[in-house]
Amino acid sequence: MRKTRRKETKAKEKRLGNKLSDRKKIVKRVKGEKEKNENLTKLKKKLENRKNKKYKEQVKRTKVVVDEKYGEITRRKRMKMWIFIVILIAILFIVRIGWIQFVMGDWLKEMAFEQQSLDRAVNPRRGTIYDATGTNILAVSSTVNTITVNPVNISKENKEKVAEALSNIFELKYEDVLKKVNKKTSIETIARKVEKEKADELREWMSDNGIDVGINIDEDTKRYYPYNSLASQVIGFCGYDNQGLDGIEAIYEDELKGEKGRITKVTDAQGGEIDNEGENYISAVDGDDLVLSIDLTIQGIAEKYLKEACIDNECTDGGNIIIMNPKTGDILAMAGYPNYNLNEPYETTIDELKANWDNMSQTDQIKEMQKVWRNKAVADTYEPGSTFKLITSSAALEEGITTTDKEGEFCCTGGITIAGVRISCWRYYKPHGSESLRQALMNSCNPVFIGLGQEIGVSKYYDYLEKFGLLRKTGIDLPGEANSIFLKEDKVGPVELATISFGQRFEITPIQMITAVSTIANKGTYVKPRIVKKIVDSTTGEITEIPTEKTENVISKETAEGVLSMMGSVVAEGTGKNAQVQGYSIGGKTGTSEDGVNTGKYVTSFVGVAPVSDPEVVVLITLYNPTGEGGHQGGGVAAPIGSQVLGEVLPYLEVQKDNTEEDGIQEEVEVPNIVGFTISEAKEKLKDLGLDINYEETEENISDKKVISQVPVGGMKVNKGSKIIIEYEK
Amino acid sequence: MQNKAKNSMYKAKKSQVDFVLVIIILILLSFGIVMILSASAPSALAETGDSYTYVTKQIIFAVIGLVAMWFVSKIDYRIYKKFYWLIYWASIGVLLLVLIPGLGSEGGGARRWINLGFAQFQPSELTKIGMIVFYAGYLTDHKNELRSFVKGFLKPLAFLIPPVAIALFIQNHLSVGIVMSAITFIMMLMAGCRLLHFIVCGGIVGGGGIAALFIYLSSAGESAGDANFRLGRILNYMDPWQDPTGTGWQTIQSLYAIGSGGLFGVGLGESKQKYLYVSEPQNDFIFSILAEELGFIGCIVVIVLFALFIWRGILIAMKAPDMFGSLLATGITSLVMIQVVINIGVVTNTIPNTGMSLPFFSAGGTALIILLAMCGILLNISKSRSKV
Repeated sequence: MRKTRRKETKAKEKRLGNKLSDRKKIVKRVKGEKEKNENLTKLKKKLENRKNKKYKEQVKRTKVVVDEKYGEITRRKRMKMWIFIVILIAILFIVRIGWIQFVMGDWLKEMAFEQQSLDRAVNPRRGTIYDATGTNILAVSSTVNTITVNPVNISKENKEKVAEALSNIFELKYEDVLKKVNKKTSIETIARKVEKEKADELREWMSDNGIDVGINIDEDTKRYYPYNSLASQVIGFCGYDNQGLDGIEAIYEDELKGEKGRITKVTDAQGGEIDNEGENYISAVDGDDLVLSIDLTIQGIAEKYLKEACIDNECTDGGNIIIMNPKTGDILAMAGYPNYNLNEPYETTIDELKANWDNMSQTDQIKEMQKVWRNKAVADTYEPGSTFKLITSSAALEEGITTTDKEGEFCCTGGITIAGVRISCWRYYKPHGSESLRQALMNSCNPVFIGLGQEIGVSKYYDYLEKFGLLRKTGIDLPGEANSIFLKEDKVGPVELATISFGQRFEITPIQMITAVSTIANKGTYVKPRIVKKIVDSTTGEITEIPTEKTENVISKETAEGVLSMMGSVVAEGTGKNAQVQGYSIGGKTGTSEDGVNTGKYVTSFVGVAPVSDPEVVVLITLYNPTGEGGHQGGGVAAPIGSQVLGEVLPYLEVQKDNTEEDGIQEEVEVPNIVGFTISEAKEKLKDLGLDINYEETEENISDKKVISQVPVGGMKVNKGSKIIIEYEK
Repeated sequence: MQNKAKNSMYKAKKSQVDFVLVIIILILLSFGIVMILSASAPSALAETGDSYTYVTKQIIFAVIGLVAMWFVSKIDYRIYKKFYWLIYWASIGVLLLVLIPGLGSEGGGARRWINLGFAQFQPSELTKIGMIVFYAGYLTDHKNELRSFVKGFLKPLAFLIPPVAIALFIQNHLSVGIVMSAITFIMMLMAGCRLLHFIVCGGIVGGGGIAALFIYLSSAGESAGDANFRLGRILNYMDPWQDPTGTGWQTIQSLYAIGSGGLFGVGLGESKQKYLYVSEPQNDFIFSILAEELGFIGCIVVIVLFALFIWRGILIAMKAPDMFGSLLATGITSLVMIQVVINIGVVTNTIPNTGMSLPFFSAGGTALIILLAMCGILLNISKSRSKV
């Protein structure tokens, strides 16, 4: 039993044990399974993780690939875009260039051409000015040189050398020249109007130093006036650039100047010549020549006596002489004193000024020069005084108010009362008494002319002023002509008319005066005065004669002859006695007036005609403020000059002598031909005939020189004792 | 051996160099030499006494350049990628060479030349190609960052600052700065940087500039008329006739030259403007002389030739087997393009005057050699093009 029990127990135990172990086992198993599970999940997780990673990587990898693909696509797209943009830019540029070349092209081309072509002017030869004879040269242009440099064409190492040479040769400041040579401009002027010798010197230096570019020697012209101050105020002078500044030079600028030529060359930016192009030479057209009415000899005579008179009579404001041919209007001479040297128009010729000249400021110098440049004969007005009685006489005779020789027609009581104002005769202290018009003119009796003026009346009187050209400029071909100063017609009352009648309280220019008197001398025909007679075309030689402008019947021939005859009496027996010239019948009238009102300055004048019967010349002498011992009366001061001047001019003009009364019989001889003989031979020949010889002795020992011209020419008849003017070979 | 095999395996389809590009290069080069012969004669004569000074030099350099081009075209362009960082620093270093006394020489008030004894040489020419290589390498290596603003936009641009700053402030060389910046922009754009970044940044910088201008105008000018006047003056910078003998001189002379050309030009060698009017007619303004001598037709030919060159360059960039090659081709092509655009823009007064030479045409020895060497790189890339 026990055994069984034991067995049973054992079995039980065994069972139990088994159970226990089973339990343990189960527990163990459970545990294990749990672990297993955990491990599994872990493993699973691991696996999953691994899988994720792989996937992710794969995803990543694909993503990169996609990115790269995408990048490449973008790149391609952008590059295609780029090509498109390039094409666009190319088109834009082509359009832009097309715009510049076709739309702006013409303008740009022109501008480019302008800067590329550098012009150097070729100065034309300015026309020559001849005197009335057509042989004496009053103004001529000679060839000189203008020196220019193209600074950039002078190499750096040569610049100083060139500047030094230029400053030495042309006597310029070295620093100034160097500055010009160093400039970056295309052309600089170094010296103008240099003489040929200087230019040659420069040429020599250039060849010695092997410099042949960058320095230009161009021809230019320089004005030269052979007779220096002669007719200076008429001729005038030229400026730096050959432009006429005064006188004929200015008035006939267009005729004289010619046409500039050009040296055109295509140049680089620095003025260098573009070698293969060469120079294109467009030659200049020379200016036309002028033949003046001014006669060298007559002008010389006028100037000589004017100067003498001005000095003798101490004319503080100078004076002038006009000599006119009444038939043609030719101004044979127009002298002014003081004048100036045309070759040095900025240098005074007046002794008092010379001493201090260099210390004067430039403005003062110019002021002084302007005084002498001024041609007072046309530019300044004066009170004509008694000479104007000729106009009053003409008007009165023409109007038939009076006749020349009615005895006792007038009576001078030493004065006349006009509208309550008493106007005295100049000889109020010793009245002229009973007189005819001729006598009144000879006496220059004021009241007579006042009376005549009143009778003519303002309106008629002004008509005559108009007819005699006194209310307008004469239109003479000279610059700066002034007009007369008259009261307006409607403001002229009896008193004003009275003063006008004897030549006071109005002002006219000397040229107006002489033109009016010339009208009388020309038997009533007004002729416009002129300086230039002919213009000679420089290329064709064609001569253009300047026509004489006339206005006929200003007064009748009879009236004119009446006045002329009275003028003859004035000189023969009246106030103009001093103007007499042996052998000639001279007519004239003197005049004296105050220069302005109460200035104490006087203008004294003489107007003369000769010969009286048919005047060939009219002369007007005007002296401003004579302060010498001779006084200021026209008869005393101005008339003698008339005698001097006419005494030389009339023979020169070969005016037939018409007044033999006092002279007795003049023996006439025939002038021999002396051209071709030596001076000593000629002298002898002339001596035998009782003639004299006249020449300008510029050299010594000229007796062997041959005579090349003579005035008058052989065969002419002249009075014994006449001078034969000759020119001899030089 | 193994390496070589690997390389050849790596290589895509082996092909010939871009023959069309070679032809274009040769035409441009010979065209350029002919124009230099014509344009430089007067100034060469004026400066040295020999009309052929420039053209002789140019021919010598062209020959050297062509040899360099052939040689460079044999070098596998991928080699450069390994050294792009080194090249970057060298590019900056070489810019600073001008500061070394005795080596750098001053010209026209700016230190940008190195005297090699036989020739003058602008280190900035080397810097340009160095920067192209650098950006090609850098952008390739960081291609995954390119779409980010900071890493892909600002960071690459930052590398531009040192060389540009040196060019501007030490060498006073604006055009080099402009060219390098422009090339970098184009390369970054082609590499895949976001256009948006460029637009936004460009907008901010440009807008800021305009705003500053506007503020300047409205604050400085009391009245509207005054402001208009100022605006007029600012706009008038393009009117060279305001100062015809000073700042406007070059532009005016250039316009005179182009304007004188007309349809067919005045004829080869017949230019008048080259006679010292156009400054350096053999250099920056050679195109003006070309326009004068060969006219509108000549201009079109040259512009088309350049367009063809750029087109081939872009094609090479598109077909390059890898991004580095593509970007390298992009850089070289854009370098030529930028210079052509700025040069023609300047001589036609389309853009303000900045000194810029015309590739293949302007005289300038070392620049020509470097240009042709770059063309060699371009040709090398064209050899290993991928299938498209």
